[in-house]
Amino acid sequence: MKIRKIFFLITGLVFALNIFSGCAPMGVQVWERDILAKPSMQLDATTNDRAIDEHIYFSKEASSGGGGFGGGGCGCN
Amino acid sequence: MRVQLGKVRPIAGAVAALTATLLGSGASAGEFGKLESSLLLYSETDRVQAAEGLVSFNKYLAGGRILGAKLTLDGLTGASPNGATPSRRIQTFTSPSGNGSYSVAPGTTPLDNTFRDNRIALDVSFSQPLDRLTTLVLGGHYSGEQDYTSLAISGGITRDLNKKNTTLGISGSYAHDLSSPMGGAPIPFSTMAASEEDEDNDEHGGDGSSETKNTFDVILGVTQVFDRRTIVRFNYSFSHASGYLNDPYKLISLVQDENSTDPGEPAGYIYEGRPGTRNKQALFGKFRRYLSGNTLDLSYRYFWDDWKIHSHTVEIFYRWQFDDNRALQPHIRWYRQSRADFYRQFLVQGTSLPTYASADYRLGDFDALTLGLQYFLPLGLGSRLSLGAEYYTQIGDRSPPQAFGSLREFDLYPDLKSFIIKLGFERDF
Amino acid sequence: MLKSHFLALLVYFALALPVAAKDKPKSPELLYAEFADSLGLENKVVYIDFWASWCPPCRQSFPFMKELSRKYGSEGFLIIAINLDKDQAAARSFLAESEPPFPVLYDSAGTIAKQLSLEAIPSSFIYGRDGTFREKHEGFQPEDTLKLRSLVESLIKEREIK
Repeated sequence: MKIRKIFFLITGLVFALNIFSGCAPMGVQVWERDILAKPSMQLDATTNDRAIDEHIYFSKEASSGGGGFGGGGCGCN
Repeated sequence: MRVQLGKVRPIAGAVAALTATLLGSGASAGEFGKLESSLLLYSETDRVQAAEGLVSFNKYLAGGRILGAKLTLDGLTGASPNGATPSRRIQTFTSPSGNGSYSVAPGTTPLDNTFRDNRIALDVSFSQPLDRLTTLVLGGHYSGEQDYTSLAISGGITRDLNKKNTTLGISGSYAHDLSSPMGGAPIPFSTMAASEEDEDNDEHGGDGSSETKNTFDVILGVTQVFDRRTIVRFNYSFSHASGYLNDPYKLISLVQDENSTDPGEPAGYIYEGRPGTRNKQALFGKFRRYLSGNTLDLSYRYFWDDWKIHSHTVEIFYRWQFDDNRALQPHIRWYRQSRADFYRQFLVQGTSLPTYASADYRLGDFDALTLGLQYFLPLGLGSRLSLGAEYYTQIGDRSPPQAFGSLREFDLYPDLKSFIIKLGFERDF
Repeated sequence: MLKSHFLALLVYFALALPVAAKDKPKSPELLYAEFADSLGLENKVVYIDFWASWCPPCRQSFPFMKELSRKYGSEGFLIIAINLDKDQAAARSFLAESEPPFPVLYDSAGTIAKQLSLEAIPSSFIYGRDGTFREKHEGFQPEDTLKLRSLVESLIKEREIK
């Protein structure tokens, strides 16, 4: 019974180490960013769209943030 | 342009997006600038109708610098709840300007339909690379409407690490708002002004002066590339506002108590009063993954403030990309808010008044759902069109447990339903 | 003649890459040395450029590189463009439109890029007529053309080495 526990512990550790060594460092090489360069993968595109959405939600809900600053001057909330 | 550095490098990120007309399109990359114009049509059933137009232009300068300017014009009409509860009888309210009044049918949620608002806003931004890995962004904002003006400045820095796999960003902003409500800012909990009789508005204490509000915001963000197809982002944002935080037009019904002749029926109306400061915080996470040509975008935000409001926001976008650069993007957003601790749908006559109270439905408990569909269409020559339609609904507690007397007969939180149409045009130069 | 060079190099790389030391770091000098024998780089000013079709500054640098190539090609200036697209079809599609007069090689696995530890794209390595490594240029902005043009011109003017 004890041997089984040790076995699982060691297996778990080895597994975890493999995952972490594979993970670090996270990311891609500069020449592997072909997909990340696509317009659909830009997190900061569609600025007008997001400004509109934030304006609507800021006017109708009590929350804000996740980006942008409050006090957008619409006099709501 | 509102600088949103929590979403890291809005300007610099936009350069990569805009100039990358990539595989197959053959259109020239935008070397000089980008134009974006959008139109929004917003319509709530029986309530507010609004139209908004935006035009923004980003000009690329030498050294990777970008100068941006955005103009926004808004027009609002329609009716908005004034905070009072429904009654078995006709109710009459004074118009915010004090000149005249409006009446509301029995059994209906009182809506103030006398307001028309037009707003103009101007945003400028400037982005400057300090070195290959660091960018500085500065921004300014002005907006003005009949009874409200806002001026803001912002600044931020982003820094790339780990071969640009990690980007750290920090930004801050300061806004100074000036509120000049029609009829002057009422003293909280004072009785609603009688129309026409109180020409000096001194019965409700409004002295015609302006009220100010100052807001400081800070956003810390990190964007991380996971692998060739995955990118994630996390933000923490903090906001401190102080000054005039009331809605000068919102009322609270003072209803007759349970032992009176007409329990739940209004005996009068008083103006709301909110705290003079507000500290807001939010944690935000976003995940975007490329899946064989399509993209999936998931985000979650948890918000909390010292008014005891908490909210969860979950948003999912799925972009279906077709071969010829057209795309279809459905999206769904789910929002749940729990109310401010001073939110009261009504106050009971004869009971001691709380320190703060507001019946503004936007501070209450509710769930909201957005369902949207957007279609993207390249037009050639570096131009793109987008068309979107959305449905937004808010659902609150129509029969809260504290309702009594006649209040039990009414829907105290009518659903909000709105339809939204968006048109967008982009062009690279 | 360019085409046969191109083909020869393609074969060379196809054979050499799996065999070549995978993670052994490479210096700019070693990079030059690898091309020197097969391409005959003696007395030439060499500009080795790493690029990809999805990289906007890379695309923007092509007209400039074409201009340099046409202007100085007869005076012993050679550009070698090494493409890093994982999807070679995308690269070919761009090249079909651009039609550069200099050879383009493919390192779609990114092996050489990794050995050189490239930190930016595009990255260029510029060598004098004597075969020595002179400058690494990272990224490309329109105003870089001034600096690069004057560097190439000064290298061209250097006396031929016997």
